[in-house]
Amino acid sequence: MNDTELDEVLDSWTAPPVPASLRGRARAGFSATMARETISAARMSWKTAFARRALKGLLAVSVVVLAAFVLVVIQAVAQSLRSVSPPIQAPYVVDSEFVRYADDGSREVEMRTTSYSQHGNEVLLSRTLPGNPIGTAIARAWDSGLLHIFTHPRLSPEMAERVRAARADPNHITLYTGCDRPTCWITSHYGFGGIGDARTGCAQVGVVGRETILNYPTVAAQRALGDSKRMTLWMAPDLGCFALRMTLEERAPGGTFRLVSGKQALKVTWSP
Amino acid sequence: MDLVEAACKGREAAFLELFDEHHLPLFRFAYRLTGSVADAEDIVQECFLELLRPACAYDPALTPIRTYLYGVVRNQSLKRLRKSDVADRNGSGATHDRSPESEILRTEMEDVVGRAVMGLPATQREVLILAHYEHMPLAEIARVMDLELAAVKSRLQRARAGLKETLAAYAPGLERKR
Repeated sequence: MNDTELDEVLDSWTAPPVPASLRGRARAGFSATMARETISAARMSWKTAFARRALKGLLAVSVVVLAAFVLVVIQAVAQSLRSVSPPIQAPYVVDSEFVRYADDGSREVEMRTTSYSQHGNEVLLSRTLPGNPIGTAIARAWDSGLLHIFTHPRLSPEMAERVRAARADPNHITLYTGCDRPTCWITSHYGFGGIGDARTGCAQVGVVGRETILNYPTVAAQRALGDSKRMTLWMAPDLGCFALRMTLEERAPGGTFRLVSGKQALKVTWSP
Repeated sequence: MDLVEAACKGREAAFLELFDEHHLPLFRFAYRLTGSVADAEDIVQECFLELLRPACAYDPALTPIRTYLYGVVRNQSLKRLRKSDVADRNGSGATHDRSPESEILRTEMEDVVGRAVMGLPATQREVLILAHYEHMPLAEIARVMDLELAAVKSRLQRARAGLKETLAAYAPGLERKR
Protein backbone atom coordinates (compact mmCIF):
# COMPACT_ATOMS: atom_id res chain seq x y z
CA MET A 1 0.00 0.00 0.00
CA ASN A 2 1.44 3.35 -0.98
CA ASP A 3 0.81 6.72 0.64
CA THR A 4 -1.97 7.69 -1.75
CA GLU A 5 -3.80 4.43 -1.17
CA LEU A 6 -3.45 4.84 2.58
CA ASP A 7 -4.86 8.36 2.38
CA GLU A 8 -7.84 7.06 0.41
CA VAL A 9 -8.50 4.36 2.98
CA LEU A 10 -8.14 6.77 5.88
CA ASP A 11 -10.58 9.17 4.24
CA SER A 12 -13.28 6.58 4.48
CA TRP A 13 -13.38 7.15 8.25
CA THR A 14 -15.66 10.11 8.57
CA ALA A 15 -16.61 11.86 11.76
CA PRO A 16 -20.28 12.00 12.69
CA PRO A 17 -22.04 15.37 12.40
CA VAL A 18 -21.86 17.65 15.38
CA PRO A 19 -24.91 17.07 17.56
CA ALA A 20 -27.31 19.99 17.25
CA SER A 21 -27.45 20.18 21.03
CA LEU A 22 -23.78 21.12 21.36
CA ARG A 23 -24.24 24.81 20.62
CA GLY A 24 -27.09 25.06 23.11
CA ARG A 25 -25.07 23.26 25.73
CA ALA A 26 -22.10 25.57 25.17
CA ARG A 27 -24.38 28.58 25.44
CA ALA A 28 -25.92 27.33 28.69
CA GLY A 29 -22.43 26.57 29.98
CA PHE A 30 -21.37 30.12 29.14
CA SER A 31 -24.23 31.62 31.19
CA ALA A 32 -23.58 29.31 34.11
CA THR A 33 -19.86 29.98 34.08
CA MET A 34 -20.28 33.73 33.93
CA ALA A 35 -22.76 33.65 36.82
CA ARG A 36 -20.34 31.52 38.84
CA GLU A 37 -17.41 33.79 38.08
CA THR A 38 -19.47 36.84 39.07
CA ILE A 39 -20.30 35.29 42.44
CA SER A 40 -16.71 34.24 42.82
CA ALA A 41 -15.54 37.76 42.02
CA ALA A 42 -18.00 39.18 44.54
CA ARG A 43 -16.68 36.79 47.15
CA MET A 44 -13.18 37.78 46.24
CA SER A 45 -14.14 41.44 46.63
CA TRP A 46 -15.48 40.73 50.08
CA LYS A 47 -12.31 38.87 50.97
CA THR A 48 -10.19 41.64 49.53
CA ALA A 49 -12.10 44.27 51.48
CA PHE A 50 -11.75 42.24 54.66
CA ALA A 51 -8.04 41.77 54.02
CA ARG A 52 -7.60 45.49 53.44
CA ARG A 53 -9.43 46.35 56.65
CA ALA A 54 -7.36 43.82 58.56
CA LEU A 55 -4.19 45.21 57.04
CA LYS A 56 -5.17 48.76 58.00
CA GLY A 57 -5.91 47.66 61.56
CA LEU A 58 -2.64 45.81 61.73
CA LEU A 59 -0.77 48.84 60.46
CA ALA A 60 -2.45 51.11 63.00
CA VAL A 61 -1.63 48.73 65.84
CA SER A 62 1.94 48.42 64.57
CA VAL A 63 2.35 52.20 64.50
CA VAL A 64 1.01 52.55 68.05
CA VAL A 65 3.21 49.72 69.32
CA LEU A 66 6.23 51.14 67.54
CA ALA A 67 5.58 54.63 68.89
CA ALA A 68 5.17 53.27 72.40
CA PHE A 69 8.37 51.28 72.02
CA VAL A 70 10.29 54.31 70.79
CA LEU A 71 9.01 56.42 73.67
CA VAL A 72 9.93 53.77 76.22
CA VAL A 73 13.41 53.51 74.73
CA ILE A 74 13.77 57.30 74.69
CA GLN A 75 12.67 57.52 78.30
CA ALA A 76 15.02 54.75 79.33
CA VAL A 77 17.96 56.32 77.51
CA ALA A 78 17.10 59.78 78.86
CA GLN A 79 16.93 58.37 82.37
CA SER A 80 20.29 56.65 82.01
CA LEU A 81 21.86 59.79 80.54
CA ARG A 82 20.52 61.88 83.40
CA SER A 83 22.01 59.47 85.89
CA VAL A 84 25.47 59.91 84.41
CA SER A 85 25.23 63.67 83.85
CA PRO A 86 26.60 65.98 86.53
CA PRO A 87 23.91 67.04 89.04
CA ILE A 88 22.60 70.55 88.58
CA GLN A 89 23.60 72.73 91.50
CA ALA A 90 20.45 74.80 91.80
CA PRO A 91 20.13 76.52 95.19
CA TYR A 92 16.36 76.20 95.00
CA VAL A 93 13.67 74.86 92.71
CA VAL A 94 10.17 76.14 92.12
CA ASP A 95 7.19 73.97 91.25
CA SER A 96 4.79 75.85 89.04
CA GLU A 97 1.75 75.24 86.90
CA PHE A 98 0.98 76.77 83.56
CA VAL A 99 -2.67 77.60 83.03
CA ARG A 100 -4.68 78.49 79.96
CA TYR A 101 -7.89 80.49 80.34
CA ALA A 102 -10.92 80.10 78.11
CA ASP A 103 -13.19 82.94 76.98
CA ASP A 104 -15.64 82.09 79.76
CA GLY A 105 -12.89 82.38 82.38
CA SER A 106 -12.52 78.68 83.03
CA ARG A 107 -8.95 77.48 83.49
CA GLU A 108 -7.06 74.41 82.44
CA VAL A 109 -3.64 73.37 83.71
CA GLU A 110 -1.49 72.74 80.67
CA MET A 111 1.82 71.94 82.29
CA ARG A 112 3.50 71.53 85.64
CA THR A 113 7.16 72.37 85.88
CA THR A 114 10.08 72.31 88.21
CA SER A 115 12.56 75.08 87.44
CA TYR A 116 14.90 77.70 88.81
CA SER A 117 16.50 80.93 87.64
CA GLN A 118 19.97 81.31 86.25
CA HIS A 119 21.31 84.62 84.98
CA GLY A 120 17.80 85.93 84.57
CA ASN A 121 16.57 82.97 82.53
CA GLU A 122 14.18 80.38 83.85
CA VAL A 123 15.80 76.99 83.60
CA LEU A 124 13.54 73.99 83.28
CA LEU A 125 14.42 70.85 85.17
CA SER A 126 11.38 68.73 84.50
CA ARG A 127 7.82 69.04 83.31
CA THR A 128 4.61 67.08 83.11
CA LEU A 129 1.61 67.53 80.84
CA PRO A 130 -1.41 66.49 82.94
CA GLY A 131 -3.57 63.80 81.29
CA ASN A 132 -1.15 63.51 78.41
CA PRO A 133 1.43 60.80 79.11
CA ILE A 134 2.56 60.61 75.49
CA GLY A 135 3.02 64.37 75.33
CA THR A 136 4.89 64.26 78.63
CA ALA A 137 7.20 61.57 77.31
CA ILE A 138 7.87 63.52 74.13
CA ALA A 139 8.42 66.76 76.07
CA ARG A 140 10.84 65.08 78.45
CA ALA A 141 12.65 63.43 75.57
CA TRP A 142 12.90 66.84 73.94
CA ASP A 143 14.13 68.45 77.13
CA SER A 144 16.68 65.71 77.67
CA GLY A 145 18.06 66.50 74.26
CA LEU A 146 17.34 63.11 72.76
CA LEU A 147 14.94 64.45 70.19
CA HIS A 148 17.35 67.25 69.38
CA ILE A 149 19.67 64.56 68.09
CA PHE A 150 17.07 63.64 65.49
CA THR A 151 15.59 67.04 64.78
CA HIS A 152 18.87 68.99 64.82
CA PRO A 153 17.43 72.36 65.83
CA ARG A 154 19.65 75.06 64.45
CA LEU A 155 19.39 78.80 64.78
CA SER A 156 20.53 80.70 61.77
CA PRO A 157 23.27 83.25 62.54
CA GLU A 158 20.78 86.06 61.94
CA MET A 159 18.25 84.55 64.33
CA ALA A 160 20.93 83.87 66.93
CA GLU A 161 21.98 87.51 66.78
CA ARG A 162 18.38 88.65 67.19
CA VAL A 163 17.96 86.40 70.24
CA ARG A 164 21.19 87.72 71.74
CA ALA A 165 20.11 91.30 71.16
CA ALA A 166 16.65 90.67 72.56
CA ARG A 167 18.09 89.16 75.71
CA ALA A 168 20.25 92.22 76.18
CA ASP A 169 17.42 94.70 75.66
CA PRO A 170 15.75 95.54 78.98
CA ASN A 171 12.57 96.57 77.20
CA HIS A 172 12.20 93.39 75.24
CA ILE A 173 10.48 90.20 76.13
CA THR A 174 12.38 87.10 75.13
CA LEU A 175 10.25 84.08 74.63
CA TYR A 176 12.25 81.17 73.45
CA THR A 177 12.95 77.53 73.93
CA GLY A 178 15.88 75.42 72.97
CA CYS A 179 19.13 74.06 74.22
CA ASP A 180 20.90 76.36 76.63
CA ARG A 181 24.03 74.30 76.73
CA PRO A 182 25.74 72.00 74.30
CA THR A 183 24.53 68.98 76.19
CA CYS A 184 20.93 70.18 76.01
CA TRP A 185 20.27 69.08 79.56
CA ILE A 186 18.70 72.41 80.30
CA THR A 187 16.04 74.13 78.29
CA SER A 188 15.61 77.85 78.65
CA HIS A 189 12.16 79.33 78.47
CA TYR A 190 11.15 82.92 78.68
CA GLY A 191 11.81 86.09 80.53
CA PHE A 192 12.43 89.73 80.05
CA GLY A 193 15.59 90.75 78.42
CA GLY A 194 18.18 92.26 80.71
CA ILE A 195 16.68 90.60 83.81
CA GLY A 196 19.07 89.03 86.21
CA ASP A 197 20.41 91.76 88.39
CA ALA A 198 18.62 91.31 91.65
CA ARG A 199 20.60 94.19 93.18
CA THR A 200 18.69 96.64 90.99
CA GLY A 201 15.33 95.07 91.83
CA CYS A 202 15.10 92.89 88.75
CA ALA A 203 13.46 95.56 86.63
CA GLN A 204 14.14 99.22 86.01
CA VAL A 205 11.38 99.88 83.52
CA GLY A 206 7.77 98.94 83.25
CA VAL A 207 7.27 98.32 86.95
CA VAL A 208 3.53 98.11 87.62
CA GLY A 209 3.44 96.93 91.20
CA ARG A 210 4.86 94.92 94.07
CA GLU A 211 3.39 91.83 95.73
CA THR A 212 4.44 89.03 98.04
CA ILE A 213 4.02 85.57 96.58
CA LEU A 214 4.74 82.41 98.62
CA ASN A 215 6.34 84.68 101.21
CA TYR A 216 8.77 86.18 98.68
CA PRO A 217 8.58 89.87 97.78
CA THR A 218 8.19 90.36 94.06
CA VAL A 219 8.30 93.27 91.67
CA ALA A 220 5.78 93.21 88.82
CA ALA A 221 7.02 94.45 85.48
CA GLN A 222 5.01 94.64 82.31
CA ARG A 223 6.02 94.66 78.66
CA ALA A 224 3.97 94.99 75.52
CA LEU A 225 4.09 92.09 73.20
CA GLY A 226 3.24 93.65 69.91
CA ASP A 227 0.10 95.81 69.78
CA SER A 228 -2.37 93.23 71.00
CA LYS A 229 -0.71 91.42 73.89
CA ARG A 230 1.13 92.16 77.06
CA MET A 231 3.09 90.11 79.51
CA THR A 232 3.53 90.71 83.22
CA LEU A 233 6.13 89.02 85.38
CA TRP A 234 6.23 89.00 89.17
CA MET A 235 9.93 88.56 89.88
CA ALA A 236 11.44 87.74 93.22
CA PRO A 237 14.84 89.40 93.91
CA ASP A 238 15.51 86.82 96.62
CA LEU A 239 15.23 84.06 94.02
CA GLY A 240 17.53 85.57 91.40
CA CYS A 241 14.61 87.37 89.77
CA PHE A 242 12.71 84.12 89.27
CA ALA A 243 9.19 84.91 88.02
CA LEU A 244 6.82 83.42 90.56
CA ARG A 245 3.87 84.52 88.48
CA MET A 246 3.45 85.34 84.84
CA THR A 247 0.40 86.45 82.93
CA LEU A 248 -0.18 86.85 79.23
CA GLU A 249 -3.11 89.05 78.28
CA GLU A 250 -4.71 89.79 74.98
CA ARG A 251 -6.40 93.00 74.01
CA ALA A 252 -10.17 92.57 73.63
CA PRO A 253 -12.21 94.57 71.05
CA GLY A 254 -13.22 97.07 73.73
CA GLY A 255 -9.60 97.88 74.50
CA THR A 256 -9.49 95.96 77.77
CA PHE A 257 -7.14 93.03 78.26
CA ARG A 258 -8.30 89.48 78.77
CA LEU A 259 -6.19 86.88 80.57
CA VAL A 260 -5.12 84.23 78.10
CA SER A 261 -2.53 82.19 79.93
CA GLY A 262 -0.18 82.34 82.84
CA LYS A 263 2.13 80.68 85.27
CA GLN A 264 1.69 80.40 88.99
CA ALA A 265 4.36 79.18 91.41
CA LEU A 266 3.07 76.55 93.82
CA LYS A 267 6.08 75.79 95.99
CA VAL A 268 9.67 76.89 96.51
CA THR A 269 12.10 74.28 97.75
CA TRP A 270 15.63 75.20 98.84
CA SER A 271 18.45 72.74 98.48
CA PRO A 272 19.78 71.51 101.81
CA MET B 1 -11.03 43.81 21.65
CA ASP B 2 -10.64 40.19 20.48
CA LEU B 3 -13.34 37.57 20.80
CA VAL B 4 -11.80 35.77 23.75
CA GLU B 5 -11.44 38.97 25.73
CA ALA B 6 -14.99 40.00 24.91
CA ALA B 7 -16.31 36.56 25.86
CA CYS B 8 -14.45 36.68 29.15
CA LYS B 9 -16.17 39.99 29.85
CA GLY B 10 -19.53 38.27 29.50
CA ARG B 11 -20.42 39.00 25.88
CA GLU B 12 -22.33 35.95 24.74
CA ALA B 13 -22.26 36.99 21.09
CA ALA B 14 -18.46 36.93 21.11
CA PHE B 15 -18.45 33.56 22.80
CA LEU B 16 -20.82 32.09 20.21
CA GLU B 17 -18.83 33.57 17.36
CA LEU B 18 -15.73 31.93 18.73
CA PHE B 19 -17.62 28.67 19.13
CA ASP B 20 -19.05 28.74 15.60
CA GLU B 21 -15.64 29.39 14.13
CA HIS B 22 -13.78 26.56 15.83
CA HIS B 23 -16.10 23.91 17.19
CA LEU B 24 -16.41 21.71 14.11
CA PRO B 25 -12.74 20.66 13.64
CA LEU B 26 -12.39 20.42 17.43
CA PHE B 27 -15.35 18.09 17.62
CA ARG B 28 -13.93 15.89 14.84
CA PHE B 29 -10.57 15.82 16.56
CA ALA B 30 -12.11 14.92 19.90
CA TYR B 31 -14.29 12.28 18.34
CA ARG B 32 -11.40 10.65 16.51
CA LEU B 33 -9.28 10.66 19.63
CA THR B 34 -11.93 9.22 21.91
CA GLY B 35 -14.17 7.39 19.48
CA SER B 36 -17.17 8.73 21.36
CA VAL B 37 -19.68 11.35 20.26
CA ALA B 38 -20.76 12.02 23.83
CA ASP B 39 -17.19 12.43 25.01
CA ALA B 40 -16.35 14.65 22.05
CA GLU B 41 -19.36 16.81 22.85
CA ASP B 42 -18.36 17.18 26.49
CA ILE B 43 -14.75 17.89 25.61
CA VAL B 44 -15.57 20.60 23.09
CA GLN B 45 -17.98 22.30 25.46
CA GLU B 46 -15.45 22.16 28.28
CA CYS B 47 -12.72 23.43 25.98
CA PHE B 48 -14.60 26.65 25.24
CA LEU B 49 -15.70 27.19 28.83
CA GLU B 50 -12.08 26.79 29.89
CA LEU B 51 -11.35 30.06 28.14
CA LEU B 52 -13.71 31.94 30.45
CA ARG B 53 -12.08 30.93 33.69
CA PRO B 54 -9.72 33.33 35.47
CA ALA B 55 -7.12 30.57 35.73
CA CYS B 56 -7.13 30.11 31.95
CA ALA B 57 -3.56 30.04 30.67
CA TYR B 58 -4.40 31.29 27.19
CA ASP B 59 -2.13 34.11 26.08
CA PRO B 60 -2.93 35.48 22.63
CA ALA B 61 0.57 36.90 22.38
CA LEU B 62 2.08 33.45 22.66
CA THR B 63 -0.36 31.07 21.00
CA PRO B 64 -2.99 31.38 18.28
CA ILE B 65 -6.43 30.52 19.60
CA ARG B 66 -6.80 27.54 17.24
CA THR B 67 -3.57 25.96 18.51
CA TYR B 68 -4.59 26.58 22.10
CA LEU B 69 -8.03 25.02 21.64
CA TYR B 70 -6.59 21.94 19.97
CA GLY B 71 -4.21 21.59 22.87
CA VAL B 72 -7.08 21.72 25.36
CA VAL B 73 -9.08 19.15 23.39
CA ARG B 74 -6.07 16.88 23.21
CA ASN B 75 -5.45 17.06 26.95
CA GLN B 76 -9.10 16.51 27.80
CA SER B 77 -9.30 13.58 25.42
CA LEU B 78 -6.21 11.91 26.83
CA LYS B 79 -7.59 12.36 30.32
CA ARG B 80 -10.82 10.66 29.34
CA LEU B 81 -9.00 7.88 27.52
CA ARG B 82 -6.91 7.16 30.60
CA LYS B 83 -10.08 6.92 32.68
CA SER B 84 -11.65 4.67 30.04
CA ASP B 85 -8.62 2.39 30.10
CA VAL B 86 -9.00 2.00 33.85
CA ALA B 87 -12.70 1.30 33.40
CA ASP B 88 -11.91 -1.28 30.71
CA ARG B 89 -9.43 -3.02 32.94
CA ASN B 90 -12.10 -3.10 35.64
CA GLY B 91 -14.43 -4.81 33.13
CA SER B 92 -16.98 -2.05 33.13
CA GLY B 93 -17.87 -2.49 29.47
CA ALA B 94 -17.19 -0.91 26.12
CA THR B 95 -15.07 2.18 25.88
CA HIS B 96 -16.79 3.82 22.99
CA ASP B 97 -20.45 4.43 22.86
CA ARG B 98 -21.98 4.06 19.49
CA SER B 99 -25.62 4.79 18.95
CA PRO B 100 -27.66 2.31 16.91
CA GLU B 101 -28.04 4.96 14.25
CA SER B 102 -24.32 5.53 13.89
CA GLU B 103 -23.71 1.79 13.76
CA ILE B 104 -26.16 1.42 10.90
CA LEU B 105 -24.60 4.26 8.97
CA ARG B 106 -21.07 3.09 9.56
CA THR B 107 -19.74 1.14 6.65
CA GLU B 108 -17.49 -1.79 7.11
CA MET B 109 -14.52 0.21 5.78
CA GLU B 110 -15.17 3.07 8.14
CA ASP B 111 -15.37 0.67 10.99
CA VAL B 112 -12.15 -1.01 10.08
CA VAL B 113 -10.25 2.21 9.52
CA GLY B 114 -11.64 3.72 12.69
CA ARG B 115 -10.57 0.70 14.70
CA ALA B 116 -7.15 0.72 13.04
CA VAL B 117 -6.59 4.38 13.90
CA MET B 118 -7.91 3.90 17.40
CA GLY B 119 -5.58 0.97 17.74
CA LEU B 120 -2.54 3.13 17.22
CA PRO B 121 -0.53 4.23 20.24
CA ALA B 122 -2.01 7.49 21.50
CA THR B 123 1.10 9.51 20.66
CA GLN B 124 0.96 8.39 17.02
CA ARG B 125 -2.82 8.62 16.80
CA GLU B 126 -2.87 12.31 17.73
CA VAL B 127 -0.30 13.21 15.11
CA LEU B 128 -2.01 11.21 12.41
CA ILE B 129 -5.45 12.69 13.11
CA LEU B 130 -4.17 16.26 13.13
CA ALA B 131 -2.04 15.79 10.05
CA HIS B 132 -4.37 13.71 7.93
CA TYR B 133 -7.87 14.59 8.99
CA GLU B 134 -7.38 18.20 10.11
CA HIS B 135 -4.66 19.03 7.56
CA MET B 136 -2.71 20.78 10.26
CA PRO B 137 0.86 21.77 9.39
CA LEU B 138 3.47 19.71 11.20
CA ALA B 139 4.90 22.81 12.89
CA GLU B 140 1.52 23.59 14.42
CA ILE B 141 1.08 19.98 15.50
CA ALA B 142 4.41 20.30 17.26
CA ARG B 143 3.07 23.34 19.15
CA VAL B 144 -0.22 21.66 20.05
CA MET B 145 1.56 18.60 21.36
CA ASP B 146 4.52 20.51 22.75
CA LEU B 147 6.96 18.40 20.76
CA GLU B 148 9.95 18.92 18.53
CA LEU B 149 9.13 18.97 14.84
CA ALA B 150 11.37 15.95 14.28
CA ALA B 151 9.42 13.97 16.87
CA VAL B 152 6.17 14.85 15.12
CA LYS B 153 7.53 13.69 11.77
CA SER B 154 8.83 10.49 13.30
CA ARG B 155 5.52 9.69 14.99
CA LEU B 156 3.60 10.42 11.83
CA GLN B 157 5.84 8.13 9.80
CA ARG B 158 5.47 5.32 12.30
CA ALA B 159 1.69 5.80 12.44
CA ARG B 160 1.36 5.65 8.69
CA ALA B 161 3.68 2.65 8.43
CA GLY B 162 1.64 0.84 11.05
CA LEU B 163 -1.62 1.63 9.31
CA LYS B 164 -0.29 0.54 5.95
CA GLU B 165 0.40 -2.80 7.49
CA THR B 166 -2.89 -3.05 9.35
CA LEU B 167 -5.00 -1.85 6.46
CA ALA B 168 -3.05 -3.53 3.67
CA ALA B 169 -5.93 -5.81 2.93
CA TYR B 170 -8.15 -2.82 2.34
CA ALA B 171 -6.00 -1.09 -0.25
CA PRO B 172 -8.23 0.31 -3.00
CA GLY B 173 -6.84 -2.06 -5.60
CA LEU B 174 -7.22 -5.14 -3.41
CA GLU B 175 -10.70 -4.11 -2.37
CA ARG B 176 -11.78 -3.90 -5.98
CA LYS B 177 -10.36 -7.34 -6.54
CA ARG B 178 -12.28 -8.74 -3.59
